[in-house]
Amino acid sequence: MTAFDKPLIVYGALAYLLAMLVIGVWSFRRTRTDRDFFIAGQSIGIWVIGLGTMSAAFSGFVFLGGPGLTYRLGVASLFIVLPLGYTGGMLCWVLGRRLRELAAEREIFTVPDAIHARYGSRWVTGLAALAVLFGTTAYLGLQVQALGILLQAVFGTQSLALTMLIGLGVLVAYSVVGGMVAGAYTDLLQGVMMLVAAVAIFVQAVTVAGGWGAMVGSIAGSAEFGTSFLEPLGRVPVFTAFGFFFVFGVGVLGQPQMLHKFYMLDDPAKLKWMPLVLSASQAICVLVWLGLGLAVPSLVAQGRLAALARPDEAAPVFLVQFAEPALAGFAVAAILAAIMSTADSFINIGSAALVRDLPRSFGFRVADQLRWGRVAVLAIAAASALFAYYYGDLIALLGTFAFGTFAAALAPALAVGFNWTRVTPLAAGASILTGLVVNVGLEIAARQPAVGWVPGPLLAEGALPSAVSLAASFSVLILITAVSGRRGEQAVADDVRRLIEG
Amino acid sequence: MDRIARIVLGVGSPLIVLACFVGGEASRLVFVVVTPLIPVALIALGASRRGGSRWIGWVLLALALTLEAGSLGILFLGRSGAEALSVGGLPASTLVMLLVLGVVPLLLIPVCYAALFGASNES
Repeated sequence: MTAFDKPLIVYGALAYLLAMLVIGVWSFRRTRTDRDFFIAGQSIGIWVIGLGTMSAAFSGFVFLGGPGLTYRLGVASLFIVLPLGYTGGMLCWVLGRRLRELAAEREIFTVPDAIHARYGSRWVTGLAALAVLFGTTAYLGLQVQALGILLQAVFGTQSLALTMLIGLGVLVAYSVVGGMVAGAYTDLLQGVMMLVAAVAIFVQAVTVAGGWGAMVGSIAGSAEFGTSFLEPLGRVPVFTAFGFFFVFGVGVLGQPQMLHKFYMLDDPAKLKWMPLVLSASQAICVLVWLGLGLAVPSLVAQGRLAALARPDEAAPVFLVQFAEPALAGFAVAAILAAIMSTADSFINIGSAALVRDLPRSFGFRVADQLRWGRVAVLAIAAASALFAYYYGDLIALLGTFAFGTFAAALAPALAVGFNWTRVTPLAAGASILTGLVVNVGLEIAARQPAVGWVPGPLLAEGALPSAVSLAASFSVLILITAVSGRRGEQAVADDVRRLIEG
Repeated sequence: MDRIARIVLGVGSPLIVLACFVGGEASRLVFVVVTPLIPVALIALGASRRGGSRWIGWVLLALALTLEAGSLGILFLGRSGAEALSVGGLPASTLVMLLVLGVVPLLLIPVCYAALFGASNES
């Protein structure tokens, strides 16, 4: 069965894409300066920021990758989303106010801009920009992969490359014309769609599976899944489960797609409600992960659905084969929204890293950043699509790598650096480099144990490269800062010192 | 409070790295105990300000105890072999995971942040 048997799915997807293009064109007319393009003129309110942060953070990772990962790992996959109860508050306490006030005093458009303001070092800024580019390529690749899998399942086509290309084209079109003004307003619409769809999909999933009791009962009683599927440590080692909890519970402090939103807030006093809006909206969206993650294995256990060849097909297969047509149409549009809201944030963040941050680390400034930012979008999008196509694993695992790259490279230098004046540029630079190199190195070692000079897995069973690199990055930062004494304090600009000391 | 936070970060982070390379039973326990303390230490670092509210210390203590109780609860309940299904057809360790690690911080932290917003110099 394909979407053509349920035309409402096609209409829903097309209506959504049309709405996004209209908003993109409308925003294009409002985008006059690079400040408009990168941080939406710092004129956005708390609801747009809160829901926008949620929709930028929750992407194809949650709506497609989550159910897919649950299909493979069982409820242990939920360790990824459990920390959202405190991550909203942590973001605001640790970085929110400081980044917002910094953006009010200086020309701060990007995370590397904030690193530059904090450490005053071109080479540290350059490393941060490299980390952003690297993580952006992986994260954007995840969105393109998710888009391709969704369109493939919906339209019943065989070619993943073709559907990825189609999705990429639409994404680039409206990101290029709209920039962050489009991003901010489409994020709001997309956020609302995601919330409504998450609740509706959850209810439908549990209903189709025969109710909560029948759903978990059939999973527990099946030979394929069994009780271990429902246990937190039933199908994964301790290091994997708590590694997810650690990386996703701390790593938000290094995610530019979320931190970037703080620059856009019109009034810092509105931060008061940010954790409530962010955490509550995230918690509602996680219902999709939980509902589809349990309903699809349950349908397989009940013999109503063939075992999935690819776990990432869990969500689209359910929507196309089991959901009511109207809900399926809306849900597909909402999943498109989830994917594209994150992707367009990354396209703009990546283009800013290319046209602002990297050139500055080499000592020059690009003259027309607005124009070149739009050109950079094309290069980043193409690189991301290629990366995703050749990565070839579950959406959620690519997401963990991408999230972990940002986390390990940027979280320590930002979170500790903006709360401790003693952190030196050397400590920050070494921490960023450690996070980047260790994460990529361990990922390669874990994935290619048989390739010649590449060593096999170095870690204990189930230990995540991203967890090790994040902890290593913190260790390096603290160690170098501790042995540097008070030298770091002298390098901090007065306005930044006031921010740090509160 | 910020000094304790820096000590936790400085000692805890290398322990996590070490545990992941060494493996074994003791390393798993260290990993489960230490990882929940890192986010609490980071919040403490960000929230401790001169003239800030002392309530923040109690909030963070409650968060640390909640996360530790949930993590250790999952670890030890999970070791009991095939678990009996309890409320809602889910194993006890899964309920601990969802409620203690997920729901309790969700109810605690956003509300406390809003309540302490002015008092902790966040405005």
